[in-house]
Amino acid sequence: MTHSPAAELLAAPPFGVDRETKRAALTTALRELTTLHRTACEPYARALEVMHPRVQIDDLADVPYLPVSVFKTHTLRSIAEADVFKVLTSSGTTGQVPSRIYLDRDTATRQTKALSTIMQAVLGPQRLPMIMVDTKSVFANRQSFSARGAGLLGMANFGRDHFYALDDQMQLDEPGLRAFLDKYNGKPVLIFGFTFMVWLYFREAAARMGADLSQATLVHSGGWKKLIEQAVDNTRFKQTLREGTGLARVYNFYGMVEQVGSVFLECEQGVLHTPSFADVIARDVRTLAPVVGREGVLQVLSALPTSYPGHSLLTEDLGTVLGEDDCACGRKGTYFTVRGRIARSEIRGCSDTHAPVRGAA
Amino acid sequence: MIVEGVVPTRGPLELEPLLARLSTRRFTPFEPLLIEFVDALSKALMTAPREYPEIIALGYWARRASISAYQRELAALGNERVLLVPRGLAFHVPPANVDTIFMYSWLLSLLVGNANLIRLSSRESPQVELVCGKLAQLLAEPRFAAVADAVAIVRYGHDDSITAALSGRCDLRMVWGGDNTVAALRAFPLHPTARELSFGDKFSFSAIGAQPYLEATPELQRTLAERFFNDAMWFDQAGCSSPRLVVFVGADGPRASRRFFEAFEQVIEARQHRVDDGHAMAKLVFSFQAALDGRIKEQHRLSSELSTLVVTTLTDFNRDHPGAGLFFVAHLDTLDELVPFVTKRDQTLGHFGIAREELAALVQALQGRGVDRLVPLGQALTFNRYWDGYDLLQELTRKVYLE
Repeated sequence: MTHSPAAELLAAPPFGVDRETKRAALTTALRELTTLHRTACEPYARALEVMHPRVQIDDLADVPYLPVSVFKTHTLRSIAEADVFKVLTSSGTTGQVPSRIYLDRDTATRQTKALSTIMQAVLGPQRLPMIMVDTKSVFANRQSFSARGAGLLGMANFGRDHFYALDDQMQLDEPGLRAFLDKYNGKPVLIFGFTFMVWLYFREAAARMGADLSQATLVHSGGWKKLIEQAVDNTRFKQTLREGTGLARVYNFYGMVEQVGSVFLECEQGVLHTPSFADVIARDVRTLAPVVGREGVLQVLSALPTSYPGHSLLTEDLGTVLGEDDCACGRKGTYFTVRGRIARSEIRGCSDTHAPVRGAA
Repeated sequence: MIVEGVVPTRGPLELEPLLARLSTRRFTPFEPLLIEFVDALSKALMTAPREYPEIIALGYWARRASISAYQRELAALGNERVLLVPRGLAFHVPPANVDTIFMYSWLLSLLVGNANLIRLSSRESPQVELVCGKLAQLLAEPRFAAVADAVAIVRYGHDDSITAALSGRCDLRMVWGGDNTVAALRAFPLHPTARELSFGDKFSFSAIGAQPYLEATPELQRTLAERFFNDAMWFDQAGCSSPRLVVFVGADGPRASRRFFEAFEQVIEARQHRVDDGHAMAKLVFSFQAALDGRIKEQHRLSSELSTLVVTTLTDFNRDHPGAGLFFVAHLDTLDELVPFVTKRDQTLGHFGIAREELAALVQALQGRGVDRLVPLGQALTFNRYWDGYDLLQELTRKVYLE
């Protein structure tokens, strides 16, 4: 396995490294990764030359970033084509160009290990019986497999005896769910689903059939875009599930295909935590200077990727960094919230009288 | 077939009676009633709120002095054997997003005596509502009843049968709005005697003589920055005439460029011009993409509103552009280095500090391959009869020969 600047951080407990230690180790790791990618990925070196000239990395905030969406328009990898083990693609909305993320075996292995370190910190070491809020046919359709299917498969590792709760029409398989719950009567189970799927296809039907999910833990991800349209935020999401089904342990996580493994998990206080090998910086949308305690555009840092230059990415998500190491939940690390995407209004122009309104990318 | 009337009256309109009405109304070019109407409209538009400078500019353009000048210019196109008459019914398809362009094309067409039907896009904007409100008010006055009879501003959804009917019955179709719209409208045949003026996608740029700029007084440099602001920022750089590239010509280009954009940034601040966060982010992403491509050698982000990207060369220059305050910058030794760069898409060249002979030599060297207008910095958006290579006064009229 190639030397990974993240090795030391990955070996540590994900939410147990204090600020000083983490900052020093992560800054060193990200500095090494910047050098590595600059040497191995020519377009990345070019972009740095122009966009971050004379960069000197003394602190996490100095690590130069790429906008996350350049993985949609450019092929960016720091390994030979022959060493590509897997290409991840983002789902995105229909008609959008997906991101393409090139992994070698080392990066893929590191991502899997990182994800499991984080999940075990919440779920414990045992693999629980698992409900997937999705349909099995997601694996039959090769097109949607890339995104949703890969996410499901990745999460499936953390449970056993998987039950896919939805049919092809996104209807809840009520008898199946009842049988599953009867079988594990009163014992802890794990539920995973994408946030909007849980809200749209599971929440109401499960409550209506009287499912008792008080012993379950829900892990969900995928973003709030579709729910914000329905004015559903995290608080309402959790409250509705608790009232309807008794489901009380609900963990959202924030992550992206461009930094798989480097996920930010919600704690009992309802805020997201960075693990030891990753961090988040909010930057003022206008000046791009780091801000704490007020909203900014989120930059995500991860020591994991060696096969593509994705260790420091500027997202188009807005969020607020609230603090570090002193969350009431007891976990170390930066903690923050995510609100949603930067809105983009229509621009005026001479072209395209009949073109549809351009939405946010 | 029903269309939605906006001016002179609001509400659904049957297409057939509407076309019947418009087909019979004509005027003598620049007859007193028309001049009186445009003058009254000009005065009404000049009172628009300051936040709509493009409407005030429209009012200024339509003032009596400039209308009289157009009248003289039209007269000069004829002589005792060549009499100028209207073409008939003009069908205008303006762009969705430059809110005032339909007024220019309509007013010029009206002044030379045509009846006009304008199809507005379904997108509403405060600018369009304001202009249409003032128009409707004027046209309701009894003295302008004949003018009201000769115009219809309408909206309609995607209905090919309406577009087909209008295209088949009009004498002139004016299609703004870029390549896609032009291509979409081409599918609808015109009457054999009718003609079309089409305005496709365009790219515009500015050329600045580096030495003359550096030698200019600070006052003049500030004035130039303000003029450039009007050129570039009124339509967030998305107008066909809005400059997106600035070339500095001659020695000391980088120094001139630096000073020019610093002065420009000061104007942006002074006018409190704001680019929304989404577009600021889109510009940043665009800059990274250009850098990854190896197309640029320097990037300067002066603010959220203003970024410049210095290109290594104009060879194979990619004209894609995100709008909202991003400028490509190139340095040339001489203006004629633009010859291989210019394409059919290039419309307006705004200039400062470049000799007239050099500009004329550029036009001759291009042999019609591109560039439709060369105007002083600050006049990129100033509408006049010469547009996209057309002489609109000539195109909007017919010439009748009498011997």
